[in-house]
Amino acid sequence: MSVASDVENKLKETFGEQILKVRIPRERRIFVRIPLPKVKEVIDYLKQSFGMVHITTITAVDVGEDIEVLYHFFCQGVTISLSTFVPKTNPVLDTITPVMPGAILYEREIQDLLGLKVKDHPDPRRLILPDDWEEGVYPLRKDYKVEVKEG
Amino acid sequence: MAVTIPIGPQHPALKEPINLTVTVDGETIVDIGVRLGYNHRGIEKAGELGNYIQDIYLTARICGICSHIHSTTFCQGVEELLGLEVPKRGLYIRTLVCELERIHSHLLWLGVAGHELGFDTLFMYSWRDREIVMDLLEIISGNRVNYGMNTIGGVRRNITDEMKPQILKGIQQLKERTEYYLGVASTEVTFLRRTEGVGLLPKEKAIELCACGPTARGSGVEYDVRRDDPYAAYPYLDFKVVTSDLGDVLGRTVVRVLEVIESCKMCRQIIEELPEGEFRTKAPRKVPAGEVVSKTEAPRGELLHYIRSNGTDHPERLKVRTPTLANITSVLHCLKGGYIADIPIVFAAIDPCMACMDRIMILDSENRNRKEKQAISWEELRKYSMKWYSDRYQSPSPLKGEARRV
Repeated sequence: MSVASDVENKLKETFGEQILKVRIPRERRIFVRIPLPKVKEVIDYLKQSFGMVHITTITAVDVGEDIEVLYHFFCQGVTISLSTFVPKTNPVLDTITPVMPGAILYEREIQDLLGLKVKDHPDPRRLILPDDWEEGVYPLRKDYKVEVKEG
Repeated sequence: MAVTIPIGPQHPALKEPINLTVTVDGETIVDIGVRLGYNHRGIEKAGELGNYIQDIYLTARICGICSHIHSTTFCQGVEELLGLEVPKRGLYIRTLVCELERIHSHLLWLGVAGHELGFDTLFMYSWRDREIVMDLLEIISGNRVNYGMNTIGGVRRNITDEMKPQILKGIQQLKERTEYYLGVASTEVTFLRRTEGVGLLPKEKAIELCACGPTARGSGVEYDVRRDDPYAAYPYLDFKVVTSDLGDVLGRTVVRVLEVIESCKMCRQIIEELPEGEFRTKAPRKVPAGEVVSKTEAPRGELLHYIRSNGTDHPERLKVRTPTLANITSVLHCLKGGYIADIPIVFAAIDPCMACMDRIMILDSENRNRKEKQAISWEELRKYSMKWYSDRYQSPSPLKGEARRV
């Protein structure tokens, strides 16, 4: 049995209904959707039982009412992407830096560019946007329009 | 008494800007903070505006040194979304350019490292030899940088039979020269004194901070996307993943130099085993809705593109994670507890793609009320570091025993 399907089975065994959706599009890739309050727990579980310690990055996508946040991990040759939805009306999520120290800059990055608030982040200062950038304007949200100049 | 030194962010003549806030006690660095984004060009947003063909050339312009690996990552991601099978010859040519690009990037790095150490002979030599690989890239693609070789479904140019002997000859020369540099890096006293034990990154720390590429492999972490998540023609090639247990700047140097030798072997194998047939296949303009994580091993480490498509001819979201960002956390850890004089080489040792810290301002905390500022350029810091080390070794004590071989 491949590592990816092993991850799928173990997660379903442990978290049951909390695992909303699993997709294995090809070998060495797995996408798992989980509810927002379970993120830390699932990451901690994968760290303990699969030795998952490498986070590659965090992607955030504006999907309308919500922002989808994907955590990309690499473990035993498989890229595990955990995804969750954060409502725009209350765009707050817990920090995972205490369990995954490598996530510190990626969490600062999504705070800047998509306006998510990472609760209890050890260093929540701006990372990418300039100091004089207007508060409440997040360039990677879909409502931020870019002026395209021809030529 | 702790003093805070802001380093950076701007200098138009150099590479990309970054700001480091270094707190020092005497010569020792006690704390260090980072501020990025001075060169943020909004490429991820621009990627959403362009169509897939335009985005190939956009991603190639993320980095001037490793442009091909970015377009490779993007193209193979889109190919996966399309379910497109790329002809084997196309994959081989794509991989050949990847490896030539790695050789050129690592030789460039070796020169920069030599320069930061005040070893400019090494800088001149390695950059002279880098011309060989630049010429090879020009023969293949028509360009010395930004090769524009990739397209969705394969590559844009073929490798002809006339090119093969020229490429093989160049690779042989490069291999011989690199073997000589391996000798220099492992025996030359000047080089060893500035790199051995400098910028230590223990293996556990490298794993914890999610370092990647030669930075991680120089600390004994055996992780290489080419082997662990194979793509393009890597499943068909024989190569070793080079690691070193030293964990210092010397370890990172040795890993890079040995990787160049491995890359030379791979290039030879690709040319000798180049499959016949088509080198690209036709791709539709519109991509069905889906999402994909595409990963490659860039010269600096693991590179990730996340692409989400929405059924049209332009992506819904394009996310890029470059290896330098992953290694910034590690370099900050390496610098802590080190000397000011080691900042240039330790920072250079991760091969940063945005390390332009030219303007340094020293704020003396005792004189702060007088608003006295002293600005030092990166060049002056480099000279300062060389002088500091030469004063330190003024009474030349012979190295204990033989200079160590690595």
